[in-house]
Amino acid sequence: MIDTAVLKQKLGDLDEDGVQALLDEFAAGTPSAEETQQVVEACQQGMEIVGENFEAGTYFVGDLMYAAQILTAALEQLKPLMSAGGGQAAKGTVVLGTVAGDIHDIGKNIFKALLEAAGFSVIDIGIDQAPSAFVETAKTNGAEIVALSGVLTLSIASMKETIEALAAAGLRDKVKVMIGGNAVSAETCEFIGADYWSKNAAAAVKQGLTYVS
Amino acid sequence: MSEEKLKIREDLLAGRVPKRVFMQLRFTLEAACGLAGVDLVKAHFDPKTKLQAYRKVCETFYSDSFPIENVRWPEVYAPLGAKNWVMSSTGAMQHPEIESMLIEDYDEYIEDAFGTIMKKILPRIYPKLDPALPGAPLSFAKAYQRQQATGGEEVGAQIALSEEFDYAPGFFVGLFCEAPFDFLSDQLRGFRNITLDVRRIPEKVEAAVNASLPLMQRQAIPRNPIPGFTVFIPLHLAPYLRPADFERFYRPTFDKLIREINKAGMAAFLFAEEDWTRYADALAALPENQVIQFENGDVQKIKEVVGGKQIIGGFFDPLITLTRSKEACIDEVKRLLDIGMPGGKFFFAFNRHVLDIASIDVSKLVAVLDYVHEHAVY
Ligand code: B12
Repeated sequence: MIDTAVLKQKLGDLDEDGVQALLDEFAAGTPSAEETQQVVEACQQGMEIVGENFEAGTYFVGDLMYAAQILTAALEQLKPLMSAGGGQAAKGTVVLGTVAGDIHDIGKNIFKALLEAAGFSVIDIGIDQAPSAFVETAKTNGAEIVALSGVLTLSIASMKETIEALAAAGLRDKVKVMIGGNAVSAETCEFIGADYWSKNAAAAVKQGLTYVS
Repeated sequence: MSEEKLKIREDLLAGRVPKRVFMQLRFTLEAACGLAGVDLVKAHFDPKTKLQAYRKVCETFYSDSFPIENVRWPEVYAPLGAKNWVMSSTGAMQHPEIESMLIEDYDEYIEDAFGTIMKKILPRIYPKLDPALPGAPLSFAKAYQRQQATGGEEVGAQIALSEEFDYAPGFFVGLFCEAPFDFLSDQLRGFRNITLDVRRIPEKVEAAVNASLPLMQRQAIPRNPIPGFTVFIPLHLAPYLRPADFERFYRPTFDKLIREINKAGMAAFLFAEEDWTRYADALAALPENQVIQFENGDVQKIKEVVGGKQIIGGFFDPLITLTRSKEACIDEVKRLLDIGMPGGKFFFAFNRHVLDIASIDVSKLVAVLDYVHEHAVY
């Protein structure tokens, strides 16, 4: 079994090769499902270090993108080693997407990686998504959180429509709506009636955890 | 053309305190069509409809230069089968993320950037230019012919309206390029890939950025440079880089490009996207009197550090017209003018272009612009 504390730190340090080497070593040792779970958790904790550094201003957006890439690849490699149905129970379900008219997804994908690292089950519906897509997915999956991403100024109008559609479907008081991306602010958040806004994915994940605890 | 506006522009660009603050607005064709209540797809293809939409913007909002930017014409991209500019379901011309240069192309690109673009990259962006296709030359000819025709018609419409509304030229007058690092990211590798490349193969990225500089220089500087003209350069990715990466990959060629443009007797019109506050010193260190429009950032600090040397503007977010009262919007622009105006070297511009009409409250924005026109006087 590898040293999970080292793995966690290597991911936190964005040492891609170091993480890879440890994972290869781990996979070669025919690990149990339980050990795999510990390694997954170490990766997630490493991602938390990345998030903290970003919040503190020592890491930048490019670092977040890179970290998301390392984490995604790591989880991909670990997946076959996990037992079916094993692992921790998800902390909550988030429906995440980029709103109608907007095809930007870099920020959305970072937020997704951080949410998953924090233990959420994330249903990513993709880019340029109509209000009905958010509503249907939230309804079918009993989501606690609907997360709207958008960087264009026109995304604010789309976010507003999405929230109105959630209300029309009787879901508005069953879910928390979080918004993020370049165009959001405290003012736009209030204007469209969302519960929370942030341009900082790491801070937003902490807020998300308060919604499901 | 209006002598007054021309004089204001001239004073501004020369670094003298003008009579009042020069105003340059940027609306998209989508926003113009939304305002005029005409169909966007129709406006793309019917010059009369387009003119109607343009005129409505000119009539509604005060500006010192032509207030609409529309340079992506669908009929030009169609014969190329373009992947970098495609029309959305609503008719907006959209730029999706592309990876036109693969990771294994780096060496070839570093060796011969122009050749690699011609042979490999263009056919990926424009599949109908694939040299293996017998129709490729014809596709190129068709696109070129349309570029000339539509471009001519576009310029004609803008000149006619500029005469009618007495506009001075703006800062975006047709010359355009990107910072070499942005060109590599935006046009060739894609934003996602470049972030990984910077960490995995930094030497190659650095060499490829250097190889891009001559191309950008050639694109920016015409054979007979026009003194007093500005070259538009949108700056995309610097705020997302680590400071050390900015110094290594972004700044050297960016700096050189701006110096070459200035050596040719022109200046750069930079659009500093996102927040450039932490690079204020780098902007201040460029040759004097570059025109810089800012998206976000600490206005006070940027005025102090950059404003003494460069001509700055931007920061005003039209979105606030949706969320604040008219009075609060005017208070906001007053605050901006109070910081920006002292000593001159300041122009009024939006922080981002107005993409569609649902992102603004028209009457409040009119009030803001009228306020600036009447009160931002020296
Ligand atoms: C990269 C980029 C692109 C890439 C996108 C690649 C991709 N796969 O996403 C490409 C080249 C494809 C592109 C295309 C276009 N772009 Co663009 N693009 C950008 C750029 C440079 C960076 C955006 C970005 O990825 N930022 C990095 C991420 C990490 O930041 P973020 O999204 O804010 O995410 C962070 C947080 O907000 C948060 N977060 C994100 N989502 C969520 C969600 C929730 C719920 C929470 C809590 C948090 C959260 O997490 C992240 C990390 O903290 C911006 C510049 C800018 N100032 O934003 C322009 C920008 C957004 N683009 C712009 C434009 C105009 C376009 C186009 C419309 C151009 C065109 N005419 O076609 C097209 C888009 C077409 C469309 N319909 O969407 C304008 C928008 C102007 C406006 N008025 O709105 C900008 C602002 C540039 C500018 N200053 O003018 N673009």
